[in-house]
Amino acid sequence: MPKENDAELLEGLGEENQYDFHTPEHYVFKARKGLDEDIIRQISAIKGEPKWMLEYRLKAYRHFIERPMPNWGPDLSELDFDDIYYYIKPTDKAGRSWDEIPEEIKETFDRLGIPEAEQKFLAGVGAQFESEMVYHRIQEQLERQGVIFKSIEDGLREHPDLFRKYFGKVVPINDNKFAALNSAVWSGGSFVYVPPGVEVTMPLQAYFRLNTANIGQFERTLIIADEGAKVHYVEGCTAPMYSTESLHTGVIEIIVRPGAYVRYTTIQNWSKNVYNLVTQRAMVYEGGRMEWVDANMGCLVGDTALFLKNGVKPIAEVEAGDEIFALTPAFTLEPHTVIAKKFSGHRPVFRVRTLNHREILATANHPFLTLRKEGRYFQLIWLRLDQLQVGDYVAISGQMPDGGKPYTLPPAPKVPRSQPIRTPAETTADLMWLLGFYVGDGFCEDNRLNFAVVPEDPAYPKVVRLVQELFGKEPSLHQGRVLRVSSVPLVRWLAELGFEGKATEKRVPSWVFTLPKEQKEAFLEGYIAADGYVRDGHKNMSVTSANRSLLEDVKRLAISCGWNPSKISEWRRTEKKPLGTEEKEYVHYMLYFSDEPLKQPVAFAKVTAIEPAGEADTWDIEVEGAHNFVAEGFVVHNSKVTMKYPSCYLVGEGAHGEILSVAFARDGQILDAGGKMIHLAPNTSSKIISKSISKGTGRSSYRGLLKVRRGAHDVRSHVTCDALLLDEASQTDTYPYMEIEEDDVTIGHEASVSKVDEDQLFYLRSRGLSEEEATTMVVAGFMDFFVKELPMEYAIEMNRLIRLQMEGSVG
Amino acid sequence: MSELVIRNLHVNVEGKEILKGLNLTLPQGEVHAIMGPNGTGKSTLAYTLMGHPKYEVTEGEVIFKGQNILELSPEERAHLGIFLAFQYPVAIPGVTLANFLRAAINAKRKAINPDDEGISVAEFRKLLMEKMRLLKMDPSFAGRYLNDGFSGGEKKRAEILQMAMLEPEIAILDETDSGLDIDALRIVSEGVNALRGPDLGVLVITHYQRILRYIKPDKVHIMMDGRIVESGGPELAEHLEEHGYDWLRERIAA
Repeated sequence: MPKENDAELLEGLGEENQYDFHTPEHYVFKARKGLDEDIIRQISAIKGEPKWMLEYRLKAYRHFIERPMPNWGPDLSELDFDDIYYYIKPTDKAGRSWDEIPEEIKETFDRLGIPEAEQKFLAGVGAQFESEMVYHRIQEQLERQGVIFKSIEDGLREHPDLFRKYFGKVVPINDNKFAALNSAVWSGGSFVYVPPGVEVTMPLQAYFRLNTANIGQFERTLIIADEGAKVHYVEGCTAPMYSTESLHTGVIEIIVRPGAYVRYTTIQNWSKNVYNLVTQRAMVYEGGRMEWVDANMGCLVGDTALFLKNGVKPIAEVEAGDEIFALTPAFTLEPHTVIAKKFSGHRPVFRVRTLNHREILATANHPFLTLRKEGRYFQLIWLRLDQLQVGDYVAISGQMPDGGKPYTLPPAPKVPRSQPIRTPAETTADLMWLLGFYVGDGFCEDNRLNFAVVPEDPAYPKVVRLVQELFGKEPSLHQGRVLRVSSVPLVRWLAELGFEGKATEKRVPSWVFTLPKEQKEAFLEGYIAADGYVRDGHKNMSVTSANRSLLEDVKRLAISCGWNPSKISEWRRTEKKPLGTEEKEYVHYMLYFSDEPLKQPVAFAKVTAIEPAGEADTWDIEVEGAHNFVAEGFVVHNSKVTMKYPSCYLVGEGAHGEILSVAFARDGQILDAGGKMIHLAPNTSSKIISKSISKGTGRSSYRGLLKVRRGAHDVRSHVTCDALLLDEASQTDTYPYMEIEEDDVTIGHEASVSKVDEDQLFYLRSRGLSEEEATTMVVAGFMDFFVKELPMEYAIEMNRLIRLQMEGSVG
Repeated sequence: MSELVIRNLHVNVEGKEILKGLNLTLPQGEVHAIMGPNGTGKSTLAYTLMGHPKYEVTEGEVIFKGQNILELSPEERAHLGIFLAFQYPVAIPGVTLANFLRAAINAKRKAINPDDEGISVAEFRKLLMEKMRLLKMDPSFAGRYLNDGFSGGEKKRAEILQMAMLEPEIAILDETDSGLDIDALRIVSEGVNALRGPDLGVLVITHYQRILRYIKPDKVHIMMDGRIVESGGPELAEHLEEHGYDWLRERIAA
């Protein structure tokens, strides 16, 4: 088949998009701020690209804007492109310094037995060490054979004609939304060309190519095996992919010319915090053979850091750049930055309540850090809300470090004919105490500030003193029960600060939550002095108010100070008026604070109720470096997704395609993998073997499409999907799609779901293996078919990785 | 000399009492047979001795090497030298017999000495080939997935191979003769006989007397309704062969 026909051939395949299994396009993507054409021009300029590439990128960008999100498969609604553009950097990323790599990642490298040189290399620091030498030696050898193995940028620069002939032909711009995005902003990746008849004996490893160890966020790889050529390309390594980016959308294009053979092996061990949406496609000509070998492992380290939300700003008001506290693996707290916020839609929500009266509303898929009793032991796992049970213990925030700052106050407004008043320039503990007292027992009326406090009240002298000190005014006692300050500017100033309205409408202004702990506590103490009650000889306190919302604010503020507030209870009182027969019902609310504040940063509280709570607008935030945060005093996690479907377009007679894939989904992780085989020519054959393992609360799905076009007779295809479930909570799904337009085809399909059963474990244990060793052995056995396909060094690492994945899986 | 002493063993399976106060002593170096009709708890005894979680011990003790092994996990019992040849060996797809055996040997060595670095590949291969020859097994067998697609005879031979490799001090053969033709039975029995010695105690659990023609027991016990009801020499097995279990049932009833 002539090469020029590639594009034409693909044109006819317009509906077979990588991310478009069966989806009508009715959703209109709204362009938002973030990525724009200027940024793309900048990327292209910095790379010194030819004009055609810039135009290509711009065209892709425009397509990306217009294209809807796929609406099948895992839920991607949490993905907000606006927040991801944040990461698009027009320059090549400077190597990340080894010191910046979190300890737990380094530890994992060590456990994997990767020497430090490689660790440095993987960290992108790679300057002076052995791998470079290895790389150069490989390069020399390859060059003698005429093989090109370069970075994609160098490929474009040094082999412009070859590059242009093939680039974007297998995965065109209009293929899918993510491919369009990649085409607009791609950066990094490999360019490989193997001349006719050349067999590359050793696997080409991206691992050994400089600057690719940091797999780019928008990686682009182009591999061309010319007639009769053979090559095996290995991408990734078994070390965990540590990434601060939340979205990876790579595009891998492979051209298998007649009689050529390409195997593309991926071993990736993604952190849980990543959306990984990669388009991998091969075009296979007459008698060619393409094999995808694809392993997607779960997370080892991605969520070891827990993040706490500072204060209780409503999530809808949180903005990128806000500082929140993160819990480190050592369970200490450090500030981190919010990098994105997403609207997740109006969805059904559930209320989770704990024994110590914390409450949160969240969607069913929201993961909580949970201690669950397994036999005699507790296991620390992320559980989705729909997997939580009453009796589980969920992580709650305790003592947070003091990240607050005094709040700069506006000057009091000048009011004509009114005497000016002195007000503090920034908040102090004294001012906050007085404001707390005001929220409890104060009100503004007729341009006067009033405190309902009698001289016998122990708080009385303090109120008088603070008014004098802070505002330079003498309050007057009115009717023996109200302290008054007459000042129009003061009343307006208070209103400006958020202290206005009637008793039932008062709230704690949001800036109060940003104050240093000392000032927040002064506010709470002032409030308690007004509305509270302290039992003699107890640290126990309670406050009473007719305003439930206010008490909720106070409760949140107390939680942010590490106090341990109890529930808000309601009580009703009916009073008869002395003369009338009319009855009036008063509703009051009461909030208790228990004796002891929480001392540790994170505590675990027993879940006492999980119940539906209607529908609500839901939000999610992203935190730099980790993806947990505290909401309403709970430690929660946002869920992430991997979707990968390598595909083969068998366009020449006798072409063969194979996809071997393995997915290992761990707690809180969703892996959606599989493959696509598109038979477009007669006598083509294909094989898909998909194996998935789900552990803990992980969920893995197989999604496969087998398509046989009319005219492609004598097609043979076999699909096998096996799933192994390691726990009661783990899940698997299979979605095989077949579209067969030809009668003369042979299709086989097998699917199995198995569990590691008690008898297998007992059998292995009876021979002396521990329960963990036994489970690992069953899993390794399940994966054996796959490991056998890997180059030796990867097989060894893969086995090691399986063991690491399984570590701590028992007891 | 370590012997296995079972005292007053009561075991429930899914809430139903199956073993009802079983007593038995198996001295090291001796071969004892336990015979009995179906459903008397013979396999329950085997599984309980090995520590299957489904079998709940409600009373009694099993003493071996000075400790009550009922308090140990299955792997700890294995490390101590107890071995169960399963009636229905379980398949572990993807795990070769050789890999599995090496892991099992290393697990045991490590349990005895935490600093043990494991058996070398060369040493292991030599040992494996030697034992396979003994059991007339083709060397290619070692590369097959454990019990996966094995015939009945192959499974039983693989069990005895494991026994040979792990060198236990007490071996329990649970209906090892079931499903074997005469040739396979002879090979398996010869294998067991070759392993017999002063350091190995064997408990042969069987429904039929057939296997006892090849593996000569020192003592024969008859089990009915969860207890040992009769013990004797090898002649007891022959007596059963001729007269069946009815005479015992009558005696118990009386």
